[in-house]
Amino acid sequence: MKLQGQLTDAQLQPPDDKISGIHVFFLIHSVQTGVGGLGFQRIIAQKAGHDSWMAVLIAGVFVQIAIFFMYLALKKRREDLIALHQRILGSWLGKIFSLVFMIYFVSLGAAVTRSYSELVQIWMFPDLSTWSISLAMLLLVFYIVSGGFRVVVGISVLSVILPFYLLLLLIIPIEHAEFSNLLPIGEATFGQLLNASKEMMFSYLGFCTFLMYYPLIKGGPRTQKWAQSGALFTMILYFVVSIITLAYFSEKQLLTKIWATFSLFKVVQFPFLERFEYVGLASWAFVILDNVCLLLWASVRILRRLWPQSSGRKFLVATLVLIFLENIILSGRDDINKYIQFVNQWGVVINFMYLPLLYLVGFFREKWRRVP
Amino acid sequence: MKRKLWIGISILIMMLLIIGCVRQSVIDELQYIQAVAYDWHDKKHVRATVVVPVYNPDRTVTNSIYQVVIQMGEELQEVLNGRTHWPLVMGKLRVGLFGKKMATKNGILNILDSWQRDPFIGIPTLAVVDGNAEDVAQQIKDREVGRKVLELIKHNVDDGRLPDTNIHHFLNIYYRRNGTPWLPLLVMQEGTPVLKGIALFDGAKMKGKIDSFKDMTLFTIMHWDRAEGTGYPFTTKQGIEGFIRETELNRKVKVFNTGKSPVISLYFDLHANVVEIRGIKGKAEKVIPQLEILIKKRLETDANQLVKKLQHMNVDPLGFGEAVRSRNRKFNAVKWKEQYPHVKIKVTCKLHLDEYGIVE
Repeated sequence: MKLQGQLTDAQLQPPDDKISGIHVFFLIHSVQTGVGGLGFQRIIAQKAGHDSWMAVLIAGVFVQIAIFFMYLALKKRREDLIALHQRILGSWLGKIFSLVFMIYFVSLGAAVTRSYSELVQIWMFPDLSTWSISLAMLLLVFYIVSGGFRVVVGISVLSVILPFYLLLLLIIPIEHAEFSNLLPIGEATFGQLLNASKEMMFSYLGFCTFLMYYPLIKGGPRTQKWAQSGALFTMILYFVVSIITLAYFSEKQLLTKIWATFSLFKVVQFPFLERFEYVGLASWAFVILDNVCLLLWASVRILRRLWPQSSGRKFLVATLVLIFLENIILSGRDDINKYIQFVNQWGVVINFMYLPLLYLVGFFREKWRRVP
Repeated sequence: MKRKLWIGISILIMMLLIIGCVRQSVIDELQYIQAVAYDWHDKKHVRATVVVPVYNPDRTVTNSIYQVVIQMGEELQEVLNGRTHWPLVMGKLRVGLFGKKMATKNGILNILDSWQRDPFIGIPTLAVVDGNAEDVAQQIKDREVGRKVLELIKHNVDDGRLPDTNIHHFLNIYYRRNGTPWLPLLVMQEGTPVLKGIALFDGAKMKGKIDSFKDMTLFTIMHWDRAEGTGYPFTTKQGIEGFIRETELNRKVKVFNTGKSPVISLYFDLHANVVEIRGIKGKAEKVIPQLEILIKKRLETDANQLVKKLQHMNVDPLGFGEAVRSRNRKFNAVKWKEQYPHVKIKVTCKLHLDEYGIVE
């Protein structure tokens, strides 16, 4: 279906620029793992105690369902979010809702950059100002995003592979872990677990950028297995990390650790490397980088699809400036936390309420149209 | 194309410049605090003794020692930086020592709390000194103080004479419900620190101690299941004296009647070698099975006595409360605290004497 004044995919992106199915695995997995992965253990333990590992699984299942719905909504016509909105909600309403997504992507990217610069300030350079860290990062983001989608994909593949060795280091804390901390299983009520899984979502979010790059994937609906397994891999990763954390720290001790994953790395000591967190933090820059890149690429893409004549580069610069300002304005744990919680709530609403609803609306409209 | 190249290069230069903005700190021009010893001064203040190793050009090490009376833990660096020629940093803190009086009266939480909040402090090992902690800092001359104390504790942990211990393990137990952690207890004897026993804490305040080497070994056996190499002396009523050394240890805790009045049984299965024996008559093959039973009984009475002692002090460093909690969904921490001194805890063991030396 070609809409008036709208460029087709072929015009926007030459066919040989499409990415292959396995890249979807990396795109989904890498955009999910971000700053959330460093501190989610405490946040979910606040709600569900030593049973909070179940919340990781529950949230992971919700993500699987959300991805399932995304494919269901898009695969029939191989369209993206903008075309979907236009078809179901009409031109004006569709545009407005697409803009909501754009704002959501940008604000999620801002949350990620701010959290990372906070991390650098606390663990590495306490007297480094926020602006210098975020400027350095945003310049890099600009360079990558203006390189186009394929470059973004390349970065996200790298961001999965390069920091992978960090996982091996989690073996060292296992030595000191006491798994009786996890007992008795099932002390938290179901309500508590759901509450915790809601908080867990921040660490899973970002995967709905998929709605924007779906038409750029070779193979279309056949790639669903890659998308699902990407999310599954994230879930397994988070599950392992949360089990180790819960066994390593006792319950109340964990509540004092804001970045529990880094506190785990504290045990790792080599004769030639006194403090391993420095290396971990530097590697984590890769994990963060692709999140921001993909989110910003998606928001630029929304703009270009809504107004094909507009300049994507100018818009990118403007959003980067906005993120930069946001980074400077938010100062301290409290502000950042509030902001993240705000973004998280929006993310939950958009991913798990709005998108299935949108699909259902589209589904029934089609059905009713056919019946008479 | 050329314009793009220029933009790229200028971005690169800008990034390099931005990253170069961090304050420099040269590794040779810092003073690393390696050990801190805290002692009682008065109700609000503690006396901190800081040891900084100085590496001389002729490869010897001298310890420079600074002493200061402080109220807040973080004051330490601020005050001392006024006395040192290079900035003092905490990044290499290895050992925290606490005087017995300070640990009993002030409690050590204030200090540990500021340490665990500081991302620049790793995982130091802690110990209580029977007497003044500053003595340890001041009397060790031959090596770096921090390293000497750390190695003393560490090799005993590795050999199984002491359960694993450092700030993480201490706080891990402290933050449990009714956490009663413990620390190794040192004492200064003729200028060297000597491992004497175990300091028992209730919360973050020291409440009592186990101060015989034999009880410390038993404590380790009951606490931890990786205690290879620990030795245990025994004497039987028949006048046989000897010494066994562990080779393998399995430990099981069972809780009966978890609800109202729990009964706990601790069972350990011990494999050991007889390494020294005096006063036996007859052939070894005959004596060994009898000996197994005799030593087993000895071990059981000693262990039960130690548990009674701990119950009497109302501290639970062996984690019986944790065993009950992990089996009971309706665990009530306050009630447990009242119950604990009267709870029936029975220690049983099985001993296998596998070898009795290479000489008959």
